Amino acid sequence: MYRVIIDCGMLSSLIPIFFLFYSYRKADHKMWWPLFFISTLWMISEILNWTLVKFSINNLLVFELFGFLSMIAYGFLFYRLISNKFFRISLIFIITVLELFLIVYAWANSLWFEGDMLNAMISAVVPFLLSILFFYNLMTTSIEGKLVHYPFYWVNAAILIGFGMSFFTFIFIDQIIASPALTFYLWPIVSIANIIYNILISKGIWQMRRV
Amino acid sequence: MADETSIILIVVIGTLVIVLLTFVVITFTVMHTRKLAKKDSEHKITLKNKELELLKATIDTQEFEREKIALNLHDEVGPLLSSVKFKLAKYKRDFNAGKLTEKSFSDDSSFIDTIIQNVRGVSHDLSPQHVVKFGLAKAIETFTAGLNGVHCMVVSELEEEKMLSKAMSRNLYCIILELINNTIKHDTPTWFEIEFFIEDGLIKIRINHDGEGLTAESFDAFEAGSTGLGLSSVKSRMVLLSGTLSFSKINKMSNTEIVVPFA
Repeated sequence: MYRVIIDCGMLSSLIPIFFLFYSYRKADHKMWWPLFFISTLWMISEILNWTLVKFSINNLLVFELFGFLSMIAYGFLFYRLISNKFFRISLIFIITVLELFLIVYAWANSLWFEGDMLNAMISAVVPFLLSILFFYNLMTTSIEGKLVHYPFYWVNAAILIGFGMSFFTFIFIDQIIASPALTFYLWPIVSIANIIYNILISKGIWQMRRV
Repeated sequence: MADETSIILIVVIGTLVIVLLTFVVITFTVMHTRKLAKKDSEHKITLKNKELELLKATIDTQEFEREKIALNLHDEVGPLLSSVKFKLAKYKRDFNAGKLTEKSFSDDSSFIDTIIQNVRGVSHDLSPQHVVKFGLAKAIETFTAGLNGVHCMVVSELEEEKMLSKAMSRNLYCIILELINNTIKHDTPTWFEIEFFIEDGLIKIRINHDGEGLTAESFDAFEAGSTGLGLSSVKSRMVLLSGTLSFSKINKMSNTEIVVPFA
């Protein structure tokens, strides 16, 4: 069962890519590219992690690099989603500062091949908070038609649930990596979060094609 | 092992809590946006109703004008022209009989004058040129000057060229005329005082007179009982101008007040 969940978690990362290519012609390209960037990054990271774990090779460098790049990718997505100038400037500033801090922190503590709880946590918290901010933004502005027909409602729900579910696992990432028992019991939570995330984001991409 | 169990517990409970909170956020957003959408659609319906009301008012006003013109042509110009035709036939007969003299034509001039006057009235109803040429207050003054047995005074503080559009002036002119005509017809006043002024950023027109006058309720009752289109035309035009019409009576003086925003 454990293996099935882990494998499904990895395979689910292919779904958004399929939907993205399928929707390329009809979608708004301004938003298609950030989603493509995010989904491709996610898929590469999942396949690499899955393969490395399968051959019992240390995959923590991939995990670490994914943390850095994903924060930039989500920053790019929300930069395009929310057009407020103050928000955009703040977003660029905060993400740059956080990235620099995390790189320096990983460098100083030689965490490239070890569990980096700070990187894992921050790279989950930033998209999570941006998603809440976007939901708040949705509440204050009226959109045409039903909310469930709005693609970024689904994309944000994916981010909120996906990163929210993984958050507590990332807090204990050091202990989980060190203990096979904890990995066995807790890593499926991350895989389930990934599956839900990928299904919801695919729904958003599908809606984007319809819009 | 104990540590591992507590970590598992913390992660599981924490994840459940966060998932629950996430669902609350998502559900709340959906509900709130639904509420917003409902409010928005209600607002749109209100706007649509207002547009419909305006459209109805425009159609009513046009209908009133048409009926008035048709009535004028049918009841006044038509019979007069028929008389002229009849007379012409008689002249032909007289001419053939050798009875036609200059005296036969002596009364016809006044006949033709009446027809001209009626046609002028119709043309005036179609487009009151006085208002466009000389302004609202002046046009009202010219109209009231022609009233027999009623003394009338017009006072205006308006800079009409700046404040009133042509359409607004025409509508106000028709409203005032209708109100004066109705007052003369039903309340038998001996004098009128018509004031044009600005108060609280609004254009106000007050018609004072010593006739019986109306209250808001009696106006509605009067309009409901009336078979003519004059009063409903007043109402329609007030809607078109987004204005209000009120009636009051202080001591023996009745007054009607028209309030309209700037064009």
